[in-house]
Amino acid sequence: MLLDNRGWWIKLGLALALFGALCVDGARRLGGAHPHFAVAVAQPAAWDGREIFVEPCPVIEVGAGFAVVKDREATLRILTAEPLMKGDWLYAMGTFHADGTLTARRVRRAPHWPIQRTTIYAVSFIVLLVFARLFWKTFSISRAGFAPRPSFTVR
Amino acid sequence: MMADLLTHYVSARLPGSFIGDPAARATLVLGVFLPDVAGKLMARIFNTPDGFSAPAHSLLGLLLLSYVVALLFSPEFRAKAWLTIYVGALLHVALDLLKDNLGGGSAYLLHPFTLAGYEIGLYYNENVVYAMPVDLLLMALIVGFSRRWK
Repeated sequence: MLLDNRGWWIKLGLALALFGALCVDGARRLGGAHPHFAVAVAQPAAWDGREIFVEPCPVIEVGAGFAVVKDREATLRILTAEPLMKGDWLYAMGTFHADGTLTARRVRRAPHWPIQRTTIYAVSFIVLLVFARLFWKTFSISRAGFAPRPSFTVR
Repeated sequence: MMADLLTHYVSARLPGSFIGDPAARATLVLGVFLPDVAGKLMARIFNTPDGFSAPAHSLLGLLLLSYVVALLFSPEFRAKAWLTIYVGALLHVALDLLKDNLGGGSAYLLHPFTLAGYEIGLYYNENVVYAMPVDLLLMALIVGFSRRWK
């Protein structure tokens, strides 16, 4: 019943609507529970004492016991004893304070993150292209949808 | 933050070697790409708010998403497509769960029932680049063995 063609558009619409509802719930509850630090910095009092995950971003300033990072046009002072240098990339987890600082529980230096991220995305894109070619060789498209070609074998 | 799709591809091709039907093998690989393709598409291209793309890595969200994709296949292949796409997507999430996200969680596996993020913490995300040569070696072995067995 779920998989035949009767009411195909209704099934597709309902599944997409349910998935969309999950996404909206995710944005409302997860986005609120685990915000980007730019959100917390904009309203520091509201996020006092909350756990914040700092996604990979560059260190723009260092001092004794702290490092300042920048992302999405916002800056954050991270209180940490970790030896960091200006220009480093890091990600961190810690507790946010009303004065706009974050006491790091864990800090991870990722000094080569920009080139690693570029490599990951470039290789992923190539893999997608290779797979797309394999997919089109494996399936034919008709009004009934993608159907396996009878003669093709995937290596 | 994500593992590269090459590592995900190999994670599907290894068990996929035991699947006789090449079409099912292809949809297993399609499934292993689905969480990142859907998630990144939503987050980066459509610039959706934080948390919006989390269902692309949750058990329930992926069940729905793989059903949506399976509906694009012919009715005769649809059940097999749904199953293999979902299993592939679960393989993807399983690999992501091995990541160390500093305790923040690599996937909100049970969303919307709980907002807890889960991770096992075996590798750091930036280090997946070092796995790529191993991935290529494994791929060569898979292709080599599959040719020999034919």
